[in-house]
Amino acid sequence: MSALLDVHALTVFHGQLEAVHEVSLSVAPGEVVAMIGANGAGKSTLLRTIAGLHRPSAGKVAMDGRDITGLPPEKRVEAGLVLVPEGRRLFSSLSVEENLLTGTYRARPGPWDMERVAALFPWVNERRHQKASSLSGGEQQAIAISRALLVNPRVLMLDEPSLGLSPLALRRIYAVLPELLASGLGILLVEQDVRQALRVATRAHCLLEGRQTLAGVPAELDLERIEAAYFGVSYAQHGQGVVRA
Amino acid sequence: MTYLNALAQGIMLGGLFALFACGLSLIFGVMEVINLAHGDVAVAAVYLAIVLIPATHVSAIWIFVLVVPTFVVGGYLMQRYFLQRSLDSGPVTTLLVTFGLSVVLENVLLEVFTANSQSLQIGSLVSDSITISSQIFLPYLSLIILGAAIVALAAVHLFLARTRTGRMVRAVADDREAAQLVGAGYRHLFGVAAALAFGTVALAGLALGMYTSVAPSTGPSYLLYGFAAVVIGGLGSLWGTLLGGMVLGVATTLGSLVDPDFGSMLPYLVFLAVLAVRPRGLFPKKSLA
Repeated sequence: MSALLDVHALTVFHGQLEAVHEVSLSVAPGEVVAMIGANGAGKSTLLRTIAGLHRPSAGKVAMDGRDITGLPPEKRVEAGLVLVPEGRRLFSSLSVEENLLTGTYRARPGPWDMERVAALFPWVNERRHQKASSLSGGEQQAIAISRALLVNPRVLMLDEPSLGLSPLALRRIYAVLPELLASGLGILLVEQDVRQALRVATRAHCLLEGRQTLAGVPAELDLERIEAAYFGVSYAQHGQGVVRA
Repeated sequence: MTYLNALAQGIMLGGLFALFACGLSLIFGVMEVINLAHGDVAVAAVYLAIVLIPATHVSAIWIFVLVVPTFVVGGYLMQRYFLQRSLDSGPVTTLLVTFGLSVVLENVLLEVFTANSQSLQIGSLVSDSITISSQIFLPYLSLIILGAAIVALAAVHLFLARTRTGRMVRAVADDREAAQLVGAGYRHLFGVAAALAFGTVALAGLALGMYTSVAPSTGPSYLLYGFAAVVIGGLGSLWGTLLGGMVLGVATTLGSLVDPDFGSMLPYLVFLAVLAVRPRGLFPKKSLA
């Protein structure tokens, strides 16, 4: 299957600091590409740059072979590239329903509408008139994902969806991934929770200080190599395992 | 009875202040811009009416049909092609740019129309009133202005609360980046907010031009009333702004009963008192609609 999203040798600076160094990746329909790495490894910066919120200093982002590197975020949304940002970022003064409706403002044609999203998270119907800020973290994450789905993305980027969620809320969020993939979209997932990420990923990349240190199919990656790529030390030097899958 | 009459007059004057303030509140709420030229925009609307009335033979009371749409379009264009540039280079720049705009507007008006005070002639409407008792009379003009203010504020409220675009204006006020991530171009939505602000302040200017006389230098003093109304009502709340305007209006008319000078001082004393007791205004609220 050919890739929907193609990122080629992307380099991003935060002032003097090189946050992302020549990272390349691709996402095809039905695929979950996981980007793992420690805090400050540049994962969020990478996603935000792909979404158009930061300008890269070098490299290319393409959707369907079309170069979108110069486009602002809202134009990338039109191309089907949608980011669910870290921390959910719901509109706090809008109700739950209004938050969802913002996803329909520039929606593309596609399978996701209010009804289908409500079927994904059935509790939404009873709580649609509540202010979004009154929801729990897990519920907010569900609304943030639903809001993004209503745009009918072709590639959905999830930035740390597990952050601050209880294990139960986390399971509920991850439980909907198969249905999203079945609708034909590709997912680019940034996650600190390595176990969780590797469980759902079809491919994984590891970032360390902005550099790609590992890439492959989760089944073929052993913990030793992941740990080395994650922390930047080899297993032999470090002496004991930290990541337990 | 005199007090009751002053109260009635004050409430009606409050509508005018609220109309003035609503655009300030909107631009601050959405773009975090303090528009120092807001009062001058209102005065510019009066002068546009003064030019248009003889040219089009539309009567002063109906001239808003031409002036308000002009300012709505002008506000949108001004935001997109002028203020946006300053916004992109930081909050201090916008303060300087709107201050500069205020100075330029004032001086252009001074150059073209001289420093003489002018008003919009509405014939007998300016003095006719409904007499309720020998002490209480409600001037038609005040009633019309209050009615227009309430209708305009309600229209802005409904637009923000019920329409797709209005919803996105509120969303962009909450979180600009998140709005971009659902495909909303914030520049357009900022333009929409500016259009509403310029439209309402133009209407306020026309009301002012009928109620009293204006000169090119009148703008800044009404800007102050606008600020006070916004702060008393609570930043970002439209209905709070209406109430804030009425508090100021009533303070003005009640103060004037004591002494005309006290009438222009009392609103600011009330303003200070509200700030001392409730620093976030009477109805602190984060949402626009």
